[in-house]
Amino acid sequence: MNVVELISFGIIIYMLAAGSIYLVLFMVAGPKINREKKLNRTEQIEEIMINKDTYPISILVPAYNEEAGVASTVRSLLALNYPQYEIIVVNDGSTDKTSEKLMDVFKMKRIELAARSYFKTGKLTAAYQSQLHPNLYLIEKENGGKADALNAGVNFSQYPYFAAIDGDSILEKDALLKTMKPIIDSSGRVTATGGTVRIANGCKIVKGEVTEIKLPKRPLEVMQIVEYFRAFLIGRLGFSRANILLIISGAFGVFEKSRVIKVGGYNTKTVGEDMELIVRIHRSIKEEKSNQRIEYIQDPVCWTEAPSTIASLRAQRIRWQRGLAETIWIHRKMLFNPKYKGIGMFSMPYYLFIELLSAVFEVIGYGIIISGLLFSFVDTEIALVMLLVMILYGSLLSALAVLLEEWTYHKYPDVKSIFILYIYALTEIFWYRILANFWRVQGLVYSLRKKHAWGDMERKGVFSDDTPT
Amino acid sequence: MRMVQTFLWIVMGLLAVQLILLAILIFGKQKALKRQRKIAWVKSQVMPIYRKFIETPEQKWLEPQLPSNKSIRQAALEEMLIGFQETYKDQEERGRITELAERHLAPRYKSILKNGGWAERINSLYFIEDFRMASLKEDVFAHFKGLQKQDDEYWQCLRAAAILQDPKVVDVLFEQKTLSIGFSKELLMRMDEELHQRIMARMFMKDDAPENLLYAFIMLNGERKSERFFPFVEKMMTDERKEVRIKAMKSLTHYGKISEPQKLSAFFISIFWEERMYAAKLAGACKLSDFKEQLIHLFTDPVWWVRFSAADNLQEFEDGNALLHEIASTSEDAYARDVARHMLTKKGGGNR
Repeated sequence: MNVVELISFGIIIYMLAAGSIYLVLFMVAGPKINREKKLNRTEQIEEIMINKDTYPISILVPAYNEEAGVASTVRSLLALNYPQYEIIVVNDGSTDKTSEKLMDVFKMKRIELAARSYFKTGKLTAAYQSQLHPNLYLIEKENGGKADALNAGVNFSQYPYFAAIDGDSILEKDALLKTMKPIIDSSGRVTATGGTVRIANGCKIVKGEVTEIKLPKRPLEVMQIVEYFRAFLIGRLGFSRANILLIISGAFGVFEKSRVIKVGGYNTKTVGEDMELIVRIHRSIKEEKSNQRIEYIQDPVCWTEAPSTIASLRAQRIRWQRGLAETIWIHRKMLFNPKYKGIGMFSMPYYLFIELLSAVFEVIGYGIIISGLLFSFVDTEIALVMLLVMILYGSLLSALAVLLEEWTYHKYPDVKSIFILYIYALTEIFWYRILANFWRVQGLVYSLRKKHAWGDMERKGVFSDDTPT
Repeated sequence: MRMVQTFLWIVMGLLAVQLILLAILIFGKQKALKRQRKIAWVKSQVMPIYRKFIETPEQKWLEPQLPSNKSIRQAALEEMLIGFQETYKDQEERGRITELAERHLAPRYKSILKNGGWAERINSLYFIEDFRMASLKEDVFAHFKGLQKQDDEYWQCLRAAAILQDPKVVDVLFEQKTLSIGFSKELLMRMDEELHQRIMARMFMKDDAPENLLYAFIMLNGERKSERFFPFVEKMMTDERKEVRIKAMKSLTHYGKISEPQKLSAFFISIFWEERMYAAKLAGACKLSDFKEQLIHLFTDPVWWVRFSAADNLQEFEDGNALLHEIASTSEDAYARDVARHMLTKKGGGNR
């Protein structure tokens, strides 16, 4: 057996193993999903709605050049079903009219700043309070990146819990009730929660609320829906069950403020600030031997705008990959460290070998397939096996996620949508995954070179007009 | 090529399994959609008749024909009655909703509690609670007794039993030491004054109440401004346990009154910042102008929360703004100036 063949077998075994891990993770989460799927969700959160003991929350909306969507994001936040909360938009030195837009729509009036500073952040230049909605604030600061903006928001916030939400996301009306439920039920033992994030592209949105769930037209957007299913359904639930969850989506998560302050807030030196924070929280929980935990709820609570062009998707993937690489690098001491139990022994290695490096292995795999089938540099048999295993790992696993999604949530109202999603999932390995893998490898290379900036995703502002996109 | 063949078989095999699964799901989806349509249809047929019964019960009416399929009948009635509950708030109308639920749903829920699946049982418990189905009181508690694990079902059983005014829940509250404050309060909220009286009597008689229950009891009465239990709450302000004192003060801010204000003096100089903060809040909530001086003194407190509460509550007084202006321009303490200035520019928006 020569070196190429050895590598080929290595990759084949790797992909089979990774696929099996996905399945095992799902099986860990399966019983809970199955048990809970028939529960009456409205009845379940009714209690929290009337109970005065829900913890008040500060919702932080970091915004950088979000003039297209910021007003409708805020409007949707103002309509949330929750007894007590405040909204803090942090304008991170936008160069567009983000602030003007808010001031105009919500009649913001300047207030004096008396913020505590738990963390050092870029300089705050002004603070405003809405005259129409006294629980809406806008703070302006010098540009310092998303993590810095979030830290400034935490400094300014007054409540014991905060939710971080992207400027391009909208929350379901009951999102806070649902995400706070594990915290309230556990009397605070749960220190951070996140919920399922969905792609809003294609859906009908009226006044900051998703009124009709529909599939988008562009293949690139449909594929991302499949991808989200795969990540959320198969991955996160299983991790959460075992209390080894490492990611709470940047699009929406709820945190206990005192815990975040204790660990030092968001890290401004990485592009993956959301994951890095979760890892740090886990680390401090484990080091303190505390019995607190991070939980993930399966209900879809947040809708986000997915990139709709190749360029913006590429930028997003590169950023994600860099964030992941940086987080793992920062916390490399936790890798295979039994002190951190499941996190050190399973989650971290999982993110390193499966989430971070799978792209590298897959790209090598493409090379082997091409050189085997077209140029006979590699044994054709090996190349064919590689291709089949990739179909298993890429397409069939994603297709399974679509099926599981329908089995658990049946959110899409018609039979046609499920069929379309399934067919798309089957095609994943032949085009979408190839693109994504190349970008992820690129991200990995960039992370070695280090460059720091806000995400440069172009916003169409899907939520700014009330029409489907 | 044997290896290729093996993998080809695996891929084809899995694809086939998935396609079968897809077919099953699509079939299931269609069935579910059909069921939804059927439920909507049943509702549209029977709703006007039941609506009439609720609005004008004295008029003669004929019970409509309901579908024989138990699950569809149940779902349609549940949806309809929940909808009615949102419309009809009057005591008598509510009573008739309960009457309908008792007549059509009670036997079903009884059997679900015995033989249904986990989620089904919990859903039934939700509705037993919503419709206040007193005939199931014993069944609910008997079911609770049989539960081993403290999960959603356990909590919901207790909630339902509490709303049905089952006195046995009082024993659970005293004996089950692990119930959280929030949950104890949830149960208390559902109980009537008679049961509350029973709880208070037991607290006086024997010192065996779990702390969480005591906190919940103190807090809830404040939130409800319950006159009957005001002396009890006020008495707790001088309890030897710090946390009980704080909860009592918090509760009194809701009452907005205190019968012996002089008792507050000591709290302004307490070594615990929480007590200083609540002293400020209570002075504001009860508009105790004798304590203005102490409030102003707290502007220089080392703890942010205390300074803030002091400034916030000074505004409760007529000359509050004038005093804030004065502090903002003349105080020697930078913290005090800061917080006064901030307070002057804010309007509403809670404690900021």
